[in-house]
Amino acid sequence: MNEAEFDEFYTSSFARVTGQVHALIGDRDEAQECVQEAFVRAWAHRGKLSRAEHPEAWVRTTAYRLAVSRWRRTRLARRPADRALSPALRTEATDETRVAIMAALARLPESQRRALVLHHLCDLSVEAVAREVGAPEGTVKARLSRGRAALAAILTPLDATDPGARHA
Amino acid sequence: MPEPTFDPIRELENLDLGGLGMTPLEPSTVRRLGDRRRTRRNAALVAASVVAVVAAATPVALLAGRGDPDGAPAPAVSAPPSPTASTPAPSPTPTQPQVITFPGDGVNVATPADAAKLTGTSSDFQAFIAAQAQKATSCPDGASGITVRKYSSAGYASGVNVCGGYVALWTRYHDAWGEGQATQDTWDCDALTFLQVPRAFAGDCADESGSFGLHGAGEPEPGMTRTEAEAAGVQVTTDAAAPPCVSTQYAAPVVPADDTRGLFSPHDGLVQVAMTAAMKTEERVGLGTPRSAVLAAYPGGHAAADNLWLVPRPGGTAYLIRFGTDDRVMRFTWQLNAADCADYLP
Repeated sequence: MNEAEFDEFYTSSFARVTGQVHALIGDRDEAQECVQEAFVRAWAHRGKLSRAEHPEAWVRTTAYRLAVSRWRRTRLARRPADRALSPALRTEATDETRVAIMAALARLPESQRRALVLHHLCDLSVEAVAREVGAPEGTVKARLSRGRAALAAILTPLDATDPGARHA
Repeated sequence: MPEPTFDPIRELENLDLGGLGMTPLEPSTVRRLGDRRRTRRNAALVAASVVAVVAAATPVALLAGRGDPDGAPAPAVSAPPSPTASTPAPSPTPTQPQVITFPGDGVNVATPADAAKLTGTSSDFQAFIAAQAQKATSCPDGASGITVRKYSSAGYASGVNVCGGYVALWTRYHDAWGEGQATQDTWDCDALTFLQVPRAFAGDCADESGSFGLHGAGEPEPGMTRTEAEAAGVQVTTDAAAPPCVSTQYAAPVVPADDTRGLFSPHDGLVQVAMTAAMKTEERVGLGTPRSAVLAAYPGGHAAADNLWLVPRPGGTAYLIRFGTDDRVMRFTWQLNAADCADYLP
């Protein structure tokens, strides 16, 4: 991969991969930092990147592993709201939906969240998801099924199911 | 008219990933940082080449000085002429790693300050050795400290561990130094391949049998209680990434550090154990073993995915062996089919 090819790859995929990693880990700032680091490593290891079948998946997986590794090493708790450049401060309707989706994803088990994001957001096939996460396809399908059910349960408005229900 | 149904999956599929607040670096900056990373391994090249030349002539004076691992030559305590002035350094070949063989038995590091005697080595290697040396406050037979015998700027080194119990091969794998191999005779050939340490540096190797996967062998195994796991060298963390299960990690700096996490269940104990580069099964399978050898060792297994071989084991456990793009083992776990952690087990 030469400089021009890398620059084009980087500029065309940075925002998309950062959004995907944000959905995976729930922290936008951390996602941007890890994706940035992943692209630096991608250029440093451009020989591997050139041989990779799916360079964007290589970057996304590297960024995700960096984020998980850093989180487990430093035990980052949820950052206080006043530290984040929170998109929730913006009150457009689409941002409210995005905030709700992100919050719901964050409540799912990591493996279900990762399967849902890779399949539905990154548009990977079940086979490709299995390859990226290193799990059998049957396991991925089970995680997708359980994840969809869990996401629906979290996001379905209460008055759509029982107008008289109260929050627990 | 019925109201449209809120479909969370459709919302997820149509989620606007956007670019709100993103401030990516310029591509040229990314490439510059990446280039710097590629050459950082050779950052000590000039200093090391000078050290290697001067050490041949004045080993004691040089090793007594303080080294600057980032490039400046080491000033000797007895003030011989500056290496750059009186001893012209050979032109470094940027792509060739520099190997330093310390004279005699090597450099003994008994306190963190001693790490400065590792002239020509990288600062992160010195920090790693200093940290290891701090861990042993007393040794049987009085043999304290770590002895570094050989170092390569490519990211590996060998010597004798704290307390002199075995010979160690330390490697920098994914930007973290760890103990890749430990032996009282020869290195493991598969592990050298996995660690990308050339035979020219490491010397003889053999494929020996190990004890990973054997019950009661003193190594971590599924079903262990927290106390048993800790006694076997595994730390149970408190992270809630996989509730109710939590992740585990090795207490010692193993290789690979970022891919040997396991799982612990409050109901079933240690549920998943991941093999390090220093471990092998009784069937001589470990990290770096070729796929053909794995299949020959475990013909009763089956493919769980393109790059996964699942081997049922006694006691409701299984080996899950993942192959890398080089068709060699890159991750090997021994795991229990525990309901608590089912969502997190491949």
